[in-house]
Amino acid sequence: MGVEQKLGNMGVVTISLENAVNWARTNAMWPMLFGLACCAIEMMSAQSAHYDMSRFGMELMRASPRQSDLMIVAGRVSRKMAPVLRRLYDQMPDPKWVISMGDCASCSGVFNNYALVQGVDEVVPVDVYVAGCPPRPEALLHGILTLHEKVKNEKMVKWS
Amino acid sequence: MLKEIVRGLSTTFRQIFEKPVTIQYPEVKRPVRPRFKGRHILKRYDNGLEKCIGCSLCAAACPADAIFVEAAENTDELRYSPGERYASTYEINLLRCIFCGYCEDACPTEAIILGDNYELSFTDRRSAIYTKEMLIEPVKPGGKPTPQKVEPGKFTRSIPDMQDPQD
Amino acid sequence: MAQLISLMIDDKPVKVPEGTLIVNAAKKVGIDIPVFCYHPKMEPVGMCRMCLVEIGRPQIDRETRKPVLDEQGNPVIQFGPKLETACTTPVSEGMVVMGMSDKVKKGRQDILEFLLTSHPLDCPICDKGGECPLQNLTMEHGPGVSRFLYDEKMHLAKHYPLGDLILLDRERCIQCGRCVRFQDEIVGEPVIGFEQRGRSLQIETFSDPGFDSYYSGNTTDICPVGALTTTDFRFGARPWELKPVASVCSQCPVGCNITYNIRREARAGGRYVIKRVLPRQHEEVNEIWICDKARFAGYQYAESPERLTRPMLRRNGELVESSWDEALQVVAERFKAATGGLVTYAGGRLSNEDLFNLKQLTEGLKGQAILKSSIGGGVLVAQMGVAKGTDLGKLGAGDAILVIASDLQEEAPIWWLRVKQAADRGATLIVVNPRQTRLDRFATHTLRYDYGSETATVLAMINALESKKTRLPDWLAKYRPNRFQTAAAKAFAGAKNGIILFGQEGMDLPRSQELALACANLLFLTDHLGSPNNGLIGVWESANTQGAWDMGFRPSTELKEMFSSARAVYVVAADPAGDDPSLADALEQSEFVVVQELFLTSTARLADVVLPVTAQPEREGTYTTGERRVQRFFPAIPAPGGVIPDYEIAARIGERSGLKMENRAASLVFAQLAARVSDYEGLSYRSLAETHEQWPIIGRDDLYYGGTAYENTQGLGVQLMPSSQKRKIFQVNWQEPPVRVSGKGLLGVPITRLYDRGATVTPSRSLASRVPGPFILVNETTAQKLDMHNDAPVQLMLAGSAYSAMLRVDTAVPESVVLVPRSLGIPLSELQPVDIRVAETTPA
Repeated sequence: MGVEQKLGNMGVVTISLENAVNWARTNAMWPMLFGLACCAIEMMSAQSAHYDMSRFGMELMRASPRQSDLMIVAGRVSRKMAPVLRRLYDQMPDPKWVISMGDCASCSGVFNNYALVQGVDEVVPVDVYVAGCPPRPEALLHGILTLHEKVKNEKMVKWS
Repeated sequence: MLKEIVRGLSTTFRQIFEKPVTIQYPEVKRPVRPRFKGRHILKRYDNGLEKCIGCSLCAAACPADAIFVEAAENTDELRYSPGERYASTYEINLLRCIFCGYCEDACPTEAIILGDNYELSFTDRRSAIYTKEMLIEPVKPGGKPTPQKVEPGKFTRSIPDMQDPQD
Repeated sequence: MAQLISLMIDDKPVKVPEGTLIVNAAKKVGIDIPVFCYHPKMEPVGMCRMCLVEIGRPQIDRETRKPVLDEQGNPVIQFGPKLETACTTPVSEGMVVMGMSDKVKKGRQDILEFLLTSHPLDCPICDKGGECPLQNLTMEHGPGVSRFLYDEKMHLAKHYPLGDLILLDRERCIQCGRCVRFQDEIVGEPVIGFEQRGRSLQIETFSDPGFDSYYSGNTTDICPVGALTTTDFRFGARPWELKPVASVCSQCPVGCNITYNIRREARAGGRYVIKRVLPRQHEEVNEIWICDKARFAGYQYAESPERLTRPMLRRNGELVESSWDEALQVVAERFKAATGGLVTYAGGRLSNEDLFNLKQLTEGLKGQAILKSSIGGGVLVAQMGVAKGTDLGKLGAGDAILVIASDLQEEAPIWWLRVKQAADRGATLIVVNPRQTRLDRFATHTLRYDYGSETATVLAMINALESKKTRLPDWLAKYRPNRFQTAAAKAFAGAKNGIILFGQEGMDLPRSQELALACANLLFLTDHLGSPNNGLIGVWESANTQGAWDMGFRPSTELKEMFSSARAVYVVAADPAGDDPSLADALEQSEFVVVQELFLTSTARLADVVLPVTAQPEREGTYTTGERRVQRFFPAIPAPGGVIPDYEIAARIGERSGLKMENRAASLVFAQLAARVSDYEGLSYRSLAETHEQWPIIGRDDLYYGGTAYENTQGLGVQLMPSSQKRKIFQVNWQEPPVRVSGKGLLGVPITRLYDRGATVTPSRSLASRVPGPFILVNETTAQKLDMHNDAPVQLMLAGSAYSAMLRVDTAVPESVVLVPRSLGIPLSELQPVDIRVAETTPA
C-alpha cells in the first residue's frame, strides 16, 4: 500500500490513523451467530434488553458470515461441525475475530472425548477465551471488552 | 381491526415512558445471587496459615480434571498449613472448570470456595491457569504470611478439631 | 498330594487340600473374608479379629464316631457359640462357614469401631488414602458412627523416622504386627518390634542405624494402614492419580519384577515422572518383595540433571556438542577404518537387544566383544544352568542349596531371601565362604576356606564323594577333604534337587572361571543337572550379565593390552577409567575412543566421541536373569530430547559402516535375536508377555489380603533351557587350578556391597545417606597389629598408588585380610597384596 509508506514517514499521523481505525473497528463489530449449545442461551441473553450488546456497536447478530466481523463460538464443537465452522470463518471478510465462549469451545471442558474438538483453536485462531459453564452474559460482555482492548492495541503492520 | 392496532400500539407507546431495564455493564455490575459460583478462592485461617492441606480430593472430585495439586511436607520452621501436608503447587485451569462446586464439597478443611468473580476472559490459554498465588486470599490483619515459623507441636492436626461433631 | 477336604463357605462348595486356612479357601472361590493381620505369605496370628466368621462342624456321635444325621439324612451342623477367626482355623471335612450372617456383620462392625477408637482419620493427608485396607473395609463393613468420644483419641507422634527410608505414624498404626512379623519370619532380621503393652503398644526399631534392613520398603506395602511410609513417596501423590507401568529391576541379576508408578508433575514441566517403585508379583522370581535398592535407587538416576542429552565430539582437545548425524558419521568412518582393530567393551546394564546389535556391529567390523565382568563362568551357566521350571520357592526338605564365595545378601538380596526361606522350609543350605555372612545363621553346613582356595574347597568336596560316573583325574587326589567338607558334600549329593550359587566374594576372572568349572563338575557328579530346580547360578554384578554372555560377549583379563593396542575402543554402559586408573592410561593410548553413556563418566571425559543414551525406565527391552529367565520391561517415562536407545545407536553406526542392521524397534531387534541366538529360539515379545494365575492372589481390589504389590498382568517372562536340559549331554572338563603363591603381609580382597557408588545408585536421593564413602574392613587383631582403631582414616597402598579410606573393624574378617568393597572408589579387582598407612588428612 502506497499510503502506508507515505504515512510511515509522518509518525504522529500514522498513530492517529491506527487509533482511529481500531476505534472504528471496535465500535462496529458485528457478531455472527454461532450458538452450538447451552452457551447460546446466554449469548442470546447478552443481546437482549437487560445486557444489550448493541451498546458496544453490536447492533445485529448476523446469520451470514459475509456480513460479520466477530465469530462467537458458543458451545461444544463436534468433529463433524469443525469443517463447517472453518468454512464459515473463511467466508467472513477480514478483519475478523473469534471469541471462544465457554469451556467447551475453549478446551472441551468436561467432555474429554473423541467426538468433540478439544478446543476450537484447533480449527480457527481464537482471540479471546471466556471461561464459564456457561459464562453469564456479563462474562461474555467482559470477553468482548477484552477483545476491544486487544483490537485497540493492534498495530497497522498487523492489519491484513 | 383498528381497535386491535390501537391496543397494540398503546402497549408499545406506554413503554416509551418506562425506565430502561438495561444494566450498564461494565459501569454498573449487578450483584450475584448468594449461591452463584465464580472464580475459586483459597482460604486462610485468621493467623495466616493456609487452610489447604494439599490432599488432592478437589482434583479427584473435579469432573473436568481442571485442578492439579502437588503436595509437600510442612516443618515447624516453614509452615504453610496446619498438619503435615500442604499444597506446594495448586493450579486450576479456569477454562476447564465448569464451576460445579464439587471441589468445595470435597474439601475436608473448607479451604476452597467459589467466589463471585465471573470476569474471566483470557487472550491465551496459558493465562487461564491460575496458580496458588493467584487463588489464595490475602492475609487477614493480624495474620502472618506463609511460610511461617511456628512453635513446635502446636499445629499437628490437618483437619481442625471438631467440637461435638454432628455430621 | 494332600488329601482334599470339601466344605461349604457362604453356600458355595469348596474343595481344598488339607491344612488350608478358611480365609485362603474362601479366596480360592472368590469370597473375600476381610483381614488386617493375616498375610498369605506369613504365619497366621489372629491378632486383629477382623476375619471372624461363624463356623459350623458336623455333629459327631461320641459312641459311633460318625456324623449325626437328621431326618432327611443330612449331617447335623453344630455352630459354635462364638465367632471364630478364619485366618487361624484350618478347614475340616463337612465344615460350614458363614461369612455374611448378621452375627458376623455385627462382629465386623464392632471390631472396626474398636480399631477406629484411636485412629486419627486423617485420610485426606494420608499416603495410603485411596489404597488403604482400613479405609476400604470401614466403607464396606464399618459401623458409620462411633460411640467413642472423639476428644479422647490418643495423640501420638505423626512423623517418627524408623530409619532413613521408612517413616512411622504412630497414630495410624493398628498394631497388626505385619511389619514386625515380616522382618522376623520372612527376613529373619528382627530389627523392629513391639514395645510396651495394651493401648501403649508401639512399633520401635532396635537397630543402629534405624530399621537397618535391605527389605524395609516391603513393610510399607503390606502395612494395612498408612502407618509406614517411604521417605521418597511421602506426600508425593495420591494413589488414584498414578499410572502403573511394568518393568524389571536393573540393579542385580535376580530380575525382580517391579511396577513404576508414574504421573505428570508441574515440577518436571508437566512431564511424566516416576513417583515410586512397587513390586509386581512373580512367584518364581521375587514373589511380592523387592529390596530397598530396587525401590529407592532403581529410577532416580533417570531424573538426574547430570544426564547427557547431546552427542559430543572432541575438537581441539575439548569435548563440544554436535549433531547426531555428525557424531555418528565420525564414529562410523573411524570404526570402518579400524576394521579388525575394534574393541567393544559393554556393561551388563544393557538389554539383550543392545548387546545383540553391539555384537552384530562388532562382528561385522571383525572386532572383539568384551564384557565388563569381574567374574566368569557364564558359558558354563548357559550349559549347566538351572533348568527351565526352576523356582527357588519350591525348594524345601530334601533339597540342597550350596552358596559359595558369595555374601548373597549384599550381592542379590532377593535370592538371599528366597534361599533363606528354602532353608526355613527344610532345605539343606551349605554356605561356603571365607567369612561369616548373614546367611550363615540359616545354614546346615558352614564351610570356611582361606581367600583364594575356594576352588580347592569344591574339589575337596568332589573328592569326598565316591564317583561311579566318571574317572576322576589323578591330580584331584591331592585335594583331601576334611570331615566338614565330607559331610557337606554327602548332604549335597544325597539331596533330591541341588542348586549352586557362586558369587563375587574375593573373585577375579580366572579364579571364578575355575570355581564355576569345579561347581559344574560337582553338579554333574551329584546328578544335579538338566532337570528343574537343579543347576548352576551365577551371582553376577549387573542385571543382564547373563544376557551378555548369551549374546557372545566375553570378559577379558588383558583389558589393558587390548585397549592400548586397539585402533578403536567402543565403551558402552561401562566406566573402565573410573574403575581402574591404569585402564585410563591404556585408553589414552588407543587411537579412538567412543563412549556411550548416561553420564559424563571418567571414561567419557577422555573419549573422542560421547553418545548419550536413554535410561532403562525410558525404553523397551529384555533382561536375562541369573536363572536365565528372559523378562521384558516397558517404557515408563519419556526420554529427554536428544537421546536414543543403545541398540539404535549401534544399528545406525552399523548402517553407516555398510552393515545391515535393525534400528526401528526393540521388538524387531529381538525377533532377529531370537532367530540367530539358538538358546533364545522361538521367543518373541508376545511370548514373554504371557501370564498365568499365581497364588496367593494379590494386587486386585482387595488390598487388605496381599498388600499394595501389583498383580502381574504384563508378563512372567520365559526361562531358557540350558543345553544340559535340552540335549541331556554333559561335557565334563577337568582343569587343574594353577598354584598361586600369595605374598606375605596383608591381602586385599574385593567384596561386593549392595549400596555402592555405581552410576545408577549415586544419583539416588533416598539412599544418599546409606551409601558409604570408601572404606576397608579388617579384623581386630589386624587392626591392633597396624595400631589402628575403628573409623580411623587410612591410606590403602595398592600397586604403588594410595587411596584414602576409612578403616572399619569387623570380627568376621579373617586375619591379615583387608576387605575392599567394589565400586566405592578403590580399584581392587583381584586378590592382591596391599598395605595400610595412617592417613595424613581425613578423606573427604
